[in-house]
Amino acid sequence: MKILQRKTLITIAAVVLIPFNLFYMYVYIMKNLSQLDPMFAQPGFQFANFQEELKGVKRVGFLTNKNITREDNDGHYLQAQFILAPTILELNNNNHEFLILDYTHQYFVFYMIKTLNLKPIDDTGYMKVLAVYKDQ
Amino acid sequence: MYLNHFISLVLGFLTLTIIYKDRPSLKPALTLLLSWGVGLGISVYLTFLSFILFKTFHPEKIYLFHGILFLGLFLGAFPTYKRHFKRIPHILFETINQRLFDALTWIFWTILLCLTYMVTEGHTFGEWDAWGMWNLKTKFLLLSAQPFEDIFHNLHWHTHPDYPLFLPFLNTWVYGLSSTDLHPIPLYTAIIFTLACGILLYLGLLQFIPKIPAFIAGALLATNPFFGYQATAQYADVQIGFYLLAGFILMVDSLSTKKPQSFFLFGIILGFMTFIKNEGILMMLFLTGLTLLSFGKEVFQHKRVLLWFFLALGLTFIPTLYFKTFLAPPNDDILPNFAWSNLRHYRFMNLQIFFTSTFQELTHKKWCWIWIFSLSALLLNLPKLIFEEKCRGLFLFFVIYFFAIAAIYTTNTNISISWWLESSLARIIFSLLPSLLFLIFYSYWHKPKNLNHL
Repeated sequence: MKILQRKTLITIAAVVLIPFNLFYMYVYIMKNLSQLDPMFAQPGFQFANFQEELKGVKRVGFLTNKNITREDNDGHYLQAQFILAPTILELNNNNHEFLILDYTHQYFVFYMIKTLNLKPIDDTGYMKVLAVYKDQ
Repeated sequence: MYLNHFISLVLGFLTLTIIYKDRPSLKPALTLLLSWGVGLGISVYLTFLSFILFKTFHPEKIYLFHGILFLGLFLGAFPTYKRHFKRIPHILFETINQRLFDALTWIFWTILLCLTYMVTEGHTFGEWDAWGMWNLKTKFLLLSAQPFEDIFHNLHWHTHPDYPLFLPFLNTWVYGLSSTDLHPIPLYTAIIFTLACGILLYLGLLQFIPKIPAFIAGALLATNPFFGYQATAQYADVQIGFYLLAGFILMVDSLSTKKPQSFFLFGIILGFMTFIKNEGILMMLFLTGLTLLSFGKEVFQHKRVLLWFFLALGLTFIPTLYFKTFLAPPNDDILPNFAWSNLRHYRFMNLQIFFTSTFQELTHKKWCWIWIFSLSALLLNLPKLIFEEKCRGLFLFFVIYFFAIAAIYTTNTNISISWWLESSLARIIFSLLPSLLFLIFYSYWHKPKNLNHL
């Protein structure tokens, strides 16, 4: 009899939870549908412009001053790696023909372009720049 | 895309036919679902093999391997089909039967499929690790002209190059000869596995307990909104949850029937688990140990069944062994700085943080109180979980696994424990939820042989 009473409690609790779950699933779905942004794009869309130019390129340097620790989630580096795959982005390595510059402020971008003697060949509206060395 | 799932289903079904021959111990619908799971594992391994041999994506060679294996399995299964040819329509009819409750059940699962799809609208590209790791590796496998070993040596270490590649190879196989965009593939894989967990829980429990509580368990899992959210995040956690649940079902079936066929299939599932995530290796070790312990002193009397178990496990563990030995770099998170000085400095504080975070996670309202329900149900049934043979093994798995996870979190000094718990604890416990519900409903409803003293 004791087992039957525990079983009954568990059954009632589970049966009560199911419509409860369905209600909150409905709330979650409605919330998402109401917040859908038609301009939503895949991760790394800020670098999507560079896909054509980097097609067939094996490795590219990714220069940034953004925080690249796991706790701060890598800035935009991993997003860029995702959208530009299978091109490998080497973090803060400027020994490549193509370089992507992603800095916290445009002054840093200009500074790197001048210091490394780069020529920008493409940019996006999100302050990301694709550049090559001027003497190439 | 769906054609490749069907091919895997056929391969798995032929495999289970050869394993069980004339003596199936599993019900037809469960056999079908496990066939799909086993078939996907086989397809993943064949895809992995093609990358080892040819280094880049060659879909025609992957299909060739599948064709060769299909021929071999068909020839092996043909004698069984010839003997039981007339029974096949009956088996199919029994699976897709016309009883009202079953019809309503399948309507429910169909509605849930639609709801699960709508849940994914909130994150169609998955969550962070989906595009930062799993789908990133899938892109490299599919698109790179360079050898696939680039994933392990040349990508940034934040992409966890030591993680096994079950999910990327699965998505690569499902993509197959498709000319569509890559984006829908991991999305639909996640949706299918989300629903499959709920259906597997229902069908698995149906093997041992009455229909209604089995359905309640499956529905309770599949309707949980946070379970749906985590499962559709396009991570590998839903796959490990699925295969762990399959392992639990087969462990109970094996220990009940003591058939070498059941142990063989159990070994196959455990082997697949090791190739999904690093946690799968831990789970395999614990479940293997608990299976051996459940035999007690009689372990040497069951040498034959254990031989089949270890044979199957060994065969399906080979890809993981190859991967870990020749391809993957060491893992940074698991006991990297196991020095006494570090442990003395960090241990107590980390333990405190771990237990506090676990308590907060389990009682968080986002789970819609499913953990409070589950832990209460476990506590109410504790005597049975400890003293009954089959329940004890499953219950001990959770206890041991919990302490193993605690040890891993508290001994890691590479990253902040608070951040690590915040970003991963929900996923870790999410993958255990289907198996935990299986244990709860199984322990309450199944009738052991000696029930009189309870």
